[in-house]
Amino acid sequence: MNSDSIKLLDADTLARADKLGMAARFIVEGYMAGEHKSPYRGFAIEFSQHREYSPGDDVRHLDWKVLGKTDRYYIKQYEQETNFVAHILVDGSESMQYGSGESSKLDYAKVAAACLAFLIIKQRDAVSLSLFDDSIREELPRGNTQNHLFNVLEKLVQFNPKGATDLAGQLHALANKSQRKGLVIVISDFFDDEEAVLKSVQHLRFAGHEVIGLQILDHDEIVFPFNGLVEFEGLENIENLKTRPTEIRKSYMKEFSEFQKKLKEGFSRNSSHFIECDTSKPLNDVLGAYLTFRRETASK
Amino acid sequence: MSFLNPAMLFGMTALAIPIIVHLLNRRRFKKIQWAAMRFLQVSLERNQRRMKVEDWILLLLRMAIVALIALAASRPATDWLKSKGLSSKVTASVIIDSSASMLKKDATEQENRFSIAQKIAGEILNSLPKGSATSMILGANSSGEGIKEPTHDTDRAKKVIGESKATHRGSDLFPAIQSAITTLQDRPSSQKELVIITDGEASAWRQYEAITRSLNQSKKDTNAIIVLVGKDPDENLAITRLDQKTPIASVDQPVRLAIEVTNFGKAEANDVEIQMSINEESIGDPAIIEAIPPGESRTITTFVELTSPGYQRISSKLNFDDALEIDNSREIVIRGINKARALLVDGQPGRDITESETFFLQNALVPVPPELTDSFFLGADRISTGDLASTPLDDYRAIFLANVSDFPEEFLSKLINFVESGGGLVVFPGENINVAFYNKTLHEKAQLLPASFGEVIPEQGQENALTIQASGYNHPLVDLWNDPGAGTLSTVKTLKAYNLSLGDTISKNKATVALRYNDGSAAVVESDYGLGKVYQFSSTADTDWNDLPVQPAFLPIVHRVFGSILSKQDDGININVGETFIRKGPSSWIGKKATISYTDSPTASEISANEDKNGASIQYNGINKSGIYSLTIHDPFELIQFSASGDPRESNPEPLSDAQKERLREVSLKFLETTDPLEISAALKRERKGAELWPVLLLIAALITILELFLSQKFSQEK
Repeated sequence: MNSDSIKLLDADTLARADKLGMAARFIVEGYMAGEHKSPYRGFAIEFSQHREYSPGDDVRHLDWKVLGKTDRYYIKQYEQETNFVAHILVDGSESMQYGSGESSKLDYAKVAAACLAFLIIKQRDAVSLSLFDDSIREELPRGNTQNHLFNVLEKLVQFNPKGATDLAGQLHALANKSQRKGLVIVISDFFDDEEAVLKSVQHLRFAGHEVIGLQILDHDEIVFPFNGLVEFEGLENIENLKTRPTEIRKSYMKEFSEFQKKLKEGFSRNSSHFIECDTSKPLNDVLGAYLTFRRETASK
Repeated sequence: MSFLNPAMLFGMTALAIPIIVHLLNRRRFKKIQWAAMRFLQVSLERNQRRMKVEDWILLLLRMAIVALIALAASRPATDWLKSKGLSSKVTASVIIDSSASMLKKDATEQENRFSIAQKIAGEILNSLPKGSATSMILGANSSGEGIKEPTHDTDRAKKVIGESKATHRGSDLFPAIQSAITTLQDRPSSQKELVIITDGEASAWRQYEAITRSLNQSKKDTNAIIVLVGKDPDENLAITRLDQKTPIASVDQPVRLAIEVTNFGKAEANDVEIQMSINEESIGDPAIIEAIPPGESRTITTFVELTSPGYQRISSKLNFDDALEIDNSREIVIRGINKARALLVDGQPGRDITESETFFLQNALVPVPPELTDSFFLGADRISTGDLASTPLDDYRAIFLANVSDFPEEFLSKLINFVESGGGLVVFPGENINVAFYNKTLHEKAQLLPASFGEVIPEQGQENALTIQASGYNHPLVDLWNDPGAGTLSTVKTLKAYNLSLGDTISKNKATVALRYNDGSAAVVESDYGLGKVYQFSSTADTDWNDLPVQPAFLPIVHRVFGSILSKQDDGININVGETFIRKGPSSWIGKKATISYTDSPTASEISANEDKNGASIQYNGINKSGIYSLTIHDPFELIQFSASGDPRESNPEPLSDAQKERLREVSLKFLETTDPLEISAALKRERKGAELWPVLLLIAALITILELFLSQKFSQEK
C-alpha cells in the first residue's frame, strides 16, 4: 500500500468505522441471512496457499502441521466466497472535482468509497469497484481480501477525472452486466439528468440489486453563499456564466431543491436509499448513515 | 437658459464614469469553478431579462445623477423664470459718490445730484432679486461710511442710503471701488454687481487708469454698472483760495488776505462781487472783479482789521447764484493777538547801541519811532547774557539769542520748558559763541537746536561773499520772495558763517532747511520742539558777518520768523475737508474730554486728548463739511476754532472725456448716463441672470440617488 492509499484511510475515520463496523457486522450478516446462507455455514472456505508468518497475523491461521514437521511458521490462506457483493461506483466526472475547501467532492467520494470498502471487506463481504465518468475508467472485480482492499484503494488514489458524467448509462451497464445480485453503492453528485438516473436505478432494482445513492455535495452547492460579481466556470465543458449570485440565489435554491426532491422521491419509489453527503461534514456521519440504513433494512 | 459657471458643463464628460465603472466591473468578476451549472443556467435563463432591465435602469439612474450634478455645477439659470419675477441672487456693492460736486443741482433737475443718486440706489435695491445682499459705500475721498459687508437686510441698506448725506469732501472713487471689488471677491455669489453712481466729473476719476485697470481685472466675475447722474453745468464760480498773507494778525492792524476766484463756467463772468465778513458781520463794500474769462482764476487782495484778540472767523462770499452753492463761500480762522513781546539776549552789547548785537533785530521787530513802540503790536526787550537767569520768561513769546557765548544749566531747563510750552527760540551765532556748548549741550543733549555748528566758512572778500539762493523758496518763511515783485534775497552777501550740519546727530524733532546759500549749504534751519519752534541762523544778527540786517528783506524775515512762532500753536486751524484735525496741547490735556462741533450744529462729537510727543494731542477725522468748527476743552475751559475748506477740484465740472467714457463702457457691463431710476433698474434686470436651477437639479439628483439606492438594494436582494 503506498502512502496515497494510506491517506484515504485516516486513523480517525478508520477508528470510527471500526466501532461502527463492529456493530454493523451482525446487522449485515443478519440482513443478508434472510436471502443467503449464513456467511459461516454456507460459505465454502477453501485452502488456497501458504505464506510465511509475519507479525500481526492471526495465530489461529497458523498451519500447526507444517510447524510440527518443519519447525517453520506458515499461515494458511483461504479463498473465501461470500454471497454478498457490494458494487461501489464512484463518479469521477469533472463536476466531482469541485470543492470549496481544501478537498474536492471527488476526494470526499474516494474516502467514502475506501471506508465503505474497508468496512464491507472487514465484514467479509465482497466489493467490486467501478470508477467512471462518461464511461468506465477503472474497474475491479469483486473480492474480499486484504489485497483486494489494497487494490481498491490503489485504484481510487490513482484515479483522475476526465470528462462529463454519464451516470445513468453506467448504472444501466452495471444492471445489464452484473449477474449476481448485490448492493450497488453509487457515490456521485448525481448532476445528471435525474429522470435517466432514476430509470437506471429502477433498472438496477429490477435486476435485483439493492441501491444506495451517496450524493456528495459541496456545502457551497447546498447554500450557494456567493456575493458580488461572479463568473462561474463550468467544469464539464459547460459555458461560463457571469452573474450576481445574490440576485439568483432563491431561484438556484429552488431549482436545486426540486432536483433533490426528485432524486429522493425517485430513490424512495424504487425502494432505494438516497443519502445526501455534505463535504463540510465528517465522513463518519456518512458511514453512520450507511450503517443505520443497513440496520433499518435488516430489521425489515 | 444661460449658465453662470459654463466651464462646469465639461463635467458632463463624467457621464462616462458610470459606463466605465460598469465596464470595469465586468473585469472585476470573481472566477469560481462550478459544478452545479445546470441550476445556474436555469436560474439565469429565468432571470436574465429581468437583470438586464435592472442593470439598464440602474445605469441610466447613475448617469442621470452625474448629469444632474454636472448641470447643477454649471449653475444654469432660466430667463423664463426671470419673466415670472424670479432671478438669481445678486451680491451688489453700491458706491454713491458723496463728494461736494454731488451737491450740484443741475438746471434740468429738481434735486441735487446726491438726492438723485440716493433714489437710483434705492431703486436698484428694490430691483434686486430676493435673497440678494448689498453693501453700500459713500465714495467721497477717504470716506468710510456706509455698509462695508454685504447685508441681506435690504431695509437696513435702504435706510442707510436714505439717511446718508453728501459731504463737502473731495472725491477719489478709486479707494471705494478697490474696497468694493475686494469685498465682492470674497463673496461666493455668482452674480456680483458693482454699481458706481457718480456725477461723471473728471476730478472723481483722478485715478482713472487705476480704476479702469481694476474694473477690467474684476470684469470676469463682477459686473460693473456705472451710472452718471451729472450734467455739464453752464456756469460755476467758486472761491478756490482764501489765504492770510500777513504773518502776524494783530488787533487793530490790517491783515492782508488773498482771495482767488475761479470761473468754471463756459462764459465770462463779469462784475463778480466778493463780500468779506468777520464773525458773520459784513465788512465794507463787496470787492469786485470785473471779468473772469471761462476756465481762468483771478486773485484779489483785501484787508480786514481784527477788533479783538482770539479766534476770528473770516469769510468771503460770492454774490452769485450757480449750480454749486458751497463753493461760493470760503472761510478761514485767524487768531488775533493784542501784543507779542520778544526777549533779545545780546551776547555782545558794544559800547554804543548801534554796535549792539541785537540793534538790527530790535529795529526790525519794532520798526516804529520810540513814541509809537508802546502801541505797536510787537515789543522787544533787550538784556545781556548775565541777566538771563534773573529774567522771567512768561511775558515773552520768543527769545532771540544773538552771539550769546553760553548760559548756566538752570537757564537751560527754563529755556527748554519755555519752548516746549509753545515759545520760540531764535539763535544767531557770532564770534563769542561757545561752539562746544551749542553743539554738545543744546544740540546733542537737549536736542533743542536742529543743527550743530560746524566749520566756520572763512571770511571772504566782498567779491567772493556767499549769497542767498535766488529762487525756489519752498519754505513758508521765505515763499514771499517767489513773487519777483517782493524783491530778492540774492543780493544779501555773507562774508562769514557757520556750516550748519543736520545729519550728524539724531534729533527728536525733524529739522528743515528754510533757506540756503547759493552753494546749497543751509543758511537758516528750523524745527518744531514741543509746542514751540526753533530757528537757527548760520550767520550773525548784526552786520559783522553779513549785510542781511541792512537789507529790506530783513524786516519781513524777522517778522515771519516771529509770526510763525506765534502761529505755531495754531498750526492746522485751517485745514481741508477730509483731513484730520490735530491740535497739540500741554500734557495737562491728557485724558481730558473735549467736544468738537460744527457751526450752528446742535450736536457735538466728544473726543479726548491722548498722550503725544512732548505733550498731548487731540485728533478728529470727521471733518466732512466745509466751514467753521469749535473745539472746546472743558477743564480748564478753552475754546479753539478752526476752519475746513472744500477741495477746489470739486468746483470744476470738467466731465470725463468721450474717450474715457468709451473705455469705461468697455470695462463695465452697463454704462448709463441717466437720472431715471426706473430706467436704470430695468436695464439691470435685463442683464441679470434668471433664476438658478441648481437647487432644483440637486434636489432631483438627491431624489434619484435615493431611488437608485433603493432600487439597487431591491435588485440585489435574493431572488
